[in-house]
Amino acid sequence: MLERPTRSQPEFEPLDWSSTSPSSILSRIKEAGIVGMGGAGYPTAAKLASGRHYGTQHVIANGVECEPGVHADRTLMRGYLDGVLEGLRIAGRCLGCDQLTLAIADDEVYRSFRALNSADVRCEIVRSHPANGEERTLIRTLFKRLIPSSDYPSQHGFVVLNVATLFAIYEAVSYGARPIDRIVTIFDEDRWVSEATPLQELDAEMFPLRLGSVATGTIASEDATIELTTNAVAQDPSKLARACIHCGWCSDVCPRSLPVEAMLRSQLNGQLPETLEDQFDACFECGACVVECPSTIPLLDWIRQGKLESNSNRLKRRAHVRFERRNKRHAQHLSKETQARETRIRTHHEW
Amino acid sequence: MVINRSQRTTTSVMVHVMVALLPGFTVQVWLSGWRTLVIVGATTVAALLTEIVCTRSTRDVSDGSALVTGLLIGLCLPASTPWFVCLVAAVIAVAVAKHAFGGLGNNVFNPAMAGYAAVLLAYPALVVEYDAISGATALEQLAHRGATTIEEVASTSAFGAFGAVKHEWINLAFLIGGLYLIAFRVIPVLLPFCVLAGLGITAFLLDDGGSSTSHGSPLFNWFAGGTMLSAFFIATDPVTSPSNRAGMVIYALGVGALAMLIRKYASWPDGFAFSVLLANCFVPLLERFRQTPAAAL
Repeated sequence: MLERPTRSQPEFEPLDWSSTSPSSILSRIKEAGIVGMGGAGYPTAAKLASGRHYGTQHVIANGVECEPGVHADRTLMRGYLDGVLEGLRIAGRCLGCDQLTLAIADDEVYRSFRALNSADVRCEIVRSHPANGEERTLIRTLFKRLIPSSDYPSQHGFVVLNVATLFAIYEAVSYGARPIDRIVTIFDEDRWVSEATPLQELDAEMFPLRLGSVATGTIASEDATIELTTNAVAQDPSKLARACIHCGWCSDVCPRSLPVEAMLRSQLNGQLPETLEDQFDACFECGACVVECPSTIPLLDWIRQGKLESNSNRLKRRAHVRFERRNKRHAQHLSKETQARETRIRTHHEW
Repeated sequence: MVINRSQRTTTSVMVHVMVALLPGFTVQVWLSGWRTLVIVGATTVAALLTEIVCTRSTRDVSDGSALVTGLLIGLCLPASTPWFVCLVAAVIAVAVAKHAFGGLGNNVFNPAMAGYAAVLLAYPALVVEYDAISGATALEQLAHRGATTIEEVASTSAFGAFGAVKHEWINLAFLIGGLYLIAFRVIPVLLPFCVLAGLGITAFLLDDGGSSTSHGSPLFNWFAGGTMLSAFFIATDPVTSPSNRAGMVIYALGVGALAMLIRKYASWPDGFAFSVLLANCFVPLLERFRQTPAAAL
């Protein structure tokens, strides 16, 4: 078990969750300010409220941590699995759902979990692939259900919560503490880190850094801090990048078979054709292409840039359409006014 | 710092290719004599030096692409090639076919084949294979045999057990190296076998049972000239071949079929240099075959 340097003092009354009403559990989670610790930072109370509103059939603990070189969730589960499972049960009680699933990836670290036998929690093992940690992909893998990207999984009866989030729920409900620290993989080593630890405290030689894994992280500014949503800090590999050799492996591994090469080229050439805009939107940034690229090109950086560009292009086009309509309207209005004036003049002269 | 979990980096790919070239290289040195070593050495050194000159800003040759280009040209050239022809081929390959187009990844034509084709056109008499023991190669004899039937030609010493003499064993060794590349997922499975299929189907259609215009069975053509080297090592260059499946199949079938047509109807004994270069022209078009995914989901 990883040594936890400081543990926050309880601020709230510890609750016995099995005898507490779901709504008081929800308000406790809201009070404690828990957010999704898998990376997105979605307010957990809002997600649970949505799950309660639409009705939930499955609560899934997402321990499928497949970004390259990140093992913070694994370390948490190895040391604090009981807390994670308690958190899952609490979430299940809050949602009025007893179908609890713990999803883990199939690699050697998880072999030890195979023997997990809990009466109420089903343990599912999925293939270790960068995309499988994403909640919609996970639901597709486990339950063969497609959730359209326009909907939240909770609208379809699924609530997916990261294992670190579940541990935070457990601490907030059963111990009464706010989440103020988490396990972060820092340069391949797991540590408990307090919220808002500045990156400056880390080894200065390792800069520039990425918040997140080497593949999916974003480049951190000098004064950035580690937040509760940060699962890893890694060195930036961009300087190792070589030229693209058009091998096509990026598209082969892409879970959505996007034309990654064409997308990269559109960014390098500075010309983004309209047909590629949807492809940029379809990318959910799993980082499989970055992992596979033999030339270590930071493909996700380019794709994120392309996403911004395609978004602004779309807005520009929409604005242009509005502008054209306005011009037309204006011209019609003007011609009406001119006609009116001419009629006025004519009638005046006749008079 | 491990980024690439599958450990397929550009450098490792090139190292795999070099390892896979070893069996073919050994057999070729053994059967064609020590001069092959001189030729491969000359092309490799020339390619590396050209690469160093051309990558002026970085002087970085660690990706190994120039080394592989040099090796491939050396293996294509016959043992009797004069040294300056080797230098010209390597310099044209790296400087003109690769760096004039913008360096690794931006070249339209396969550098090794562009260099080889350039000397094939510039010094036709010097790069045609004659050696003291077997005289002309089997493909040479077929191309310039006059009105003799296939059986009459096949009885000469240029023909071996199932392919061209000597070249059948060299081809077999390159085939083994190619299978090694497939096993290590360096090259796609589909591409080399589609090249062989294109060549085989065309040879089968052109094979009329041994008249004076026929050009040998598919088996003979698979194990003659530079078939296996081209199918597994040259046509599979990722830069100059399509990366999507449909485009890859069309490209590979085209390479094989064109090579066979050149063998039969053109005056060059082997056709892979020109068939690969011709097929390269169509790669930007074939890249469009990557199907667009469903935007929903």
